Amino acid sequence: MQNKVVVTGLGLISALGNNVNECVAAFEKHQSGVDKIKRLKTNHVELSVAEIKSTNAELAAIAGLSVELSRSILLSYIATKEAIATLPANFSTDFRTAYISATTVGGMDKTEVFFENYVDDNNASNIEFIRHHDCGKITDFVAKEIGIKGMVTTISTACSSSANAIALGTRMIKQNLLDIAIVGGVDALTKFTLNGFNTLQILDTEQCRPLDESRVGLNLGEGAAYLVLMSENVAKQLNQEIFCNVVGYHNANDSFHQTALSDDAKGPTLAMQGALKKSGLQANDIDYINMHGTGTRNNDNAEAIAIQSIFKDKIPKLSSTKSFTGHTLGASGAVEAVFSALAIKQGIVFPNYSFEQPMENLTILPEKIFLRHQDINHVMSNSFGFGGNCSSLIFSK
Amino acid sequence: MELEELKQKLKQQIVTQLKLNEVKPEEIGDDEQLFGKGLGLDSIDALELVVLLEEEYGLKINHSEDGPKIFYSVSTIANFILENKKA
Amino acid sequence: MAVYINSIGQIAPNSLANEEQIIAGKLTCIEPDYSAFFDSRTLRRISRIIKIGTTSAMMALKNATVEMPDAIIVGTGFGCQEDTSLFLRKLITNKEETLNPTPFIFSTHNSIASQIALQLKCHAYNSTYSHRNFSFESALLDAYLLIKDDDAQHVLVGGVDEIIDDSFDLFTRIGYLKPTDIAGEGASFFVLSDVKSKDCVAELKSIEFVANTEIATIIDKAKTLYHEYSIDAIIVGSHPDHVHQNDQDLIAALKIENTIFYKQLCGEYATSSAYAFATANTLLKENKAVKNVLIYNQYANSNHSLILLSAC
Repeated sequence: MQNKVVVTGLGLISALGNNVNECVAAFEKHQSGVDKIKRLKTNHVELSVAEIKSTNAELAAIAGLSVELSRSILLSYIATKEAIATLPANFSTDFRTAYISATTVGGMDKTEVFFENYVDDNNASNIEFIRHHDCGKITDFVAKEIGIKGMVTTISTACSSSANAIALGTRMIKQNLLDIAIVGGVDALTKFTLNGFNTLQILDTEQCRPLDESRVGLNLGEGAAYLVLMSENVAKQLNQEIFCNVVGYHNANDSFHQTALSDDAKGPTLAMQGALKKSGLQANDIDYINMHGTGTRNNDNAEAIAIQSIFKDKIPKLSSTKSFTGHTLGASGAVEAVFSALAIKQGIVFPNYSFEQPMENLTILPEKIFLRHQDINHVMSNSFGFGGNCSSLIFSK
Repeated sequence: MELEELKQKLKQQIVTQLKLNEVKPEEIGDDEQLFGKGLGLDSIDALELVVLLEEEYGLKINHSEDGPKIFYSVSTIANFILENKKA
Repeated sequence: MAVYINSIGQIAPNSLANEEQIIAGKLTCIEPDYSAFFDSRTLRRISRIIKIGTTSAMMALKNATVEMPDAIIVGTGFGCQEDTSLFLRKLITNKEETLNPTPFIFSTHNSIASQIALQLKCHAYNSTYSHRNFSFESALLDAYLLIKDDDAQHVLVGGVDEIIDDSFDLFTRIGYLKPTDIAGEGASFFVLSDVKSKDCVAELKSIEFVANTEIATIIDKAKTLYHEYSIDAIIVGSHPDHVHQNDQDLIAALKIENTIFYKQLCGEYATSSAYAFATANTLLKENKAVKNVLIYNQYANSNHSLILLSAC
């Protein structure tokens, strides 16, 4: 007998706001988080990004933590605390609880400051910064703060990282190895990632335009998002509000190129088909797709080809919320899972920030306005990353 | 710089930048296709060549769609450098 | 359903290492000629950790005579440090101008798992864990779950880390490497399957890892396993000359005479428990009297793992 896995808590911090409600309100007012770079100290002021406006000092104040911590830890902690707000105090001691996080560059925001002096003089920088470098540091720190005494781990599969964290938590609850899993991911905006993506010439200097023929690239963002997953029985026992069920997940590899998806979109197709199979749903059951939709020529083209091949002439409502949040890399799968859960619970359809010109030779058209009171029963969320890592999740009412 | 001299220099630089250890610079034909067929370079190599032009010749290529035209062969790169250096 | 360990592929420091072979406090891998494993176009781009990891993975597949795994799962504590350092240093020296894309592309932690997928043209499940000393354990747990849940039949799973000059310097200064530690590195990959191959000697019985926990709780867990499986050998993550207090406590509590240390062989690194996993397999193969082996690994007195292998 396998457990049903439900979502009972959501936490989110992004360029749109410091919590779930603020982020949804930004969508409702149609305010994108994308702007010219203001906070991050970089020479590339020509680029547009979706920064969280708060400084580290402000985030530390919100979190009640030291300002010396990495920005990633601060973001991760704030979103985690919001997600677990309704859990009872004994959630980690009386239940088998895991904390499964995800990130691509961990505490790189500290490492890159450290290296500024380290490159010239081995002893010139504050060595303490290096303690924040690795991915596991963030997870360990937050797990300890919230009192986790069980399993902790961190997934790093590029832009699909936190989608895989959600899938792992779901699998373990389903197989009755866990009662509760706090799952999600984080990435802070860093010079490292900004310059990295810039060398690939896939950054838009203006507001990005996912799924639009005129798109030229993505906007990097930053943020953290976590979901509380538990078995349906535990949720009832703890009297938790249920947002939705996690019913489908699949991880596949495009196995084509380190940074680009194949023209026939094999990886994305396998991920979506696999998630549908796991959920037992038919393609036409899906009411809304939260696309990976980065806004690069390559991703949006491949993703659209895969969607059209699976959904044929019955394409569900779809959009890329990255046009509001920017691409939050390791956090993006969880950020978009939060939107997917809200889509089901509150009947919301999240729009694209802008859309004018359909992609050449493709038929998909994203939603343009924020809608409430829609009948949304099944949502698919896609996350594809470097290294061909493709994951799809399906949430149901 | 004369065109011929520039082409020879470029071949050496391409081999070094792209770490084409098994290729001798003089084996690359002036008009040989660099991407896909011919030398068989790919999109990451194209981005490395963008860095090469910027570092060695101070030339920026911002629109990746110009890439295939400019980077078609050693001759097209050399011509691009000479034209833009003058300007 | 049982989970069998059908093969090992490993690139490690010389397993017969003695003091003389430790160079400047480091044990580094004895590497093969990679030209048999990669075409020259790939080889020019990928860093050492990707070569070590991918090649070990290919060896494990070959040894298991599995051509295409149903899943590829890699654990790496610190990922592709060489390319990360290269990109970071140039970013600062060149003041964010004229940066090469290649080191950035291969700096991501999942570069190893994705290179393996690319080499094999494998479209299956592909994941990477990066959580300090739980990186390999997490990968192993994932593999175990996939097989138990009937999502996969053959899973390629491994742990890999590299030591580079920057990390050696920084880890020493920050205390990740203690004065008595020898820095190490290596890659150990395995094919886990739901069916037993003819050379298979071991079965993965149990894997658990917990954070923020006292050693006393771990000893209780180990005792439970001891009684359930009558464990006759234990592998702990210490150098025999400098046995960690937790290891001493566990050994004393379980009263197992057959205790094996391995840090003198592979050095200290985040995924060295993958080396221990290979060691456990070898032990079960070479000493038929040994039937159940427990591997204990810990970090910072708070994060512990217990892995149990049985002869089959």
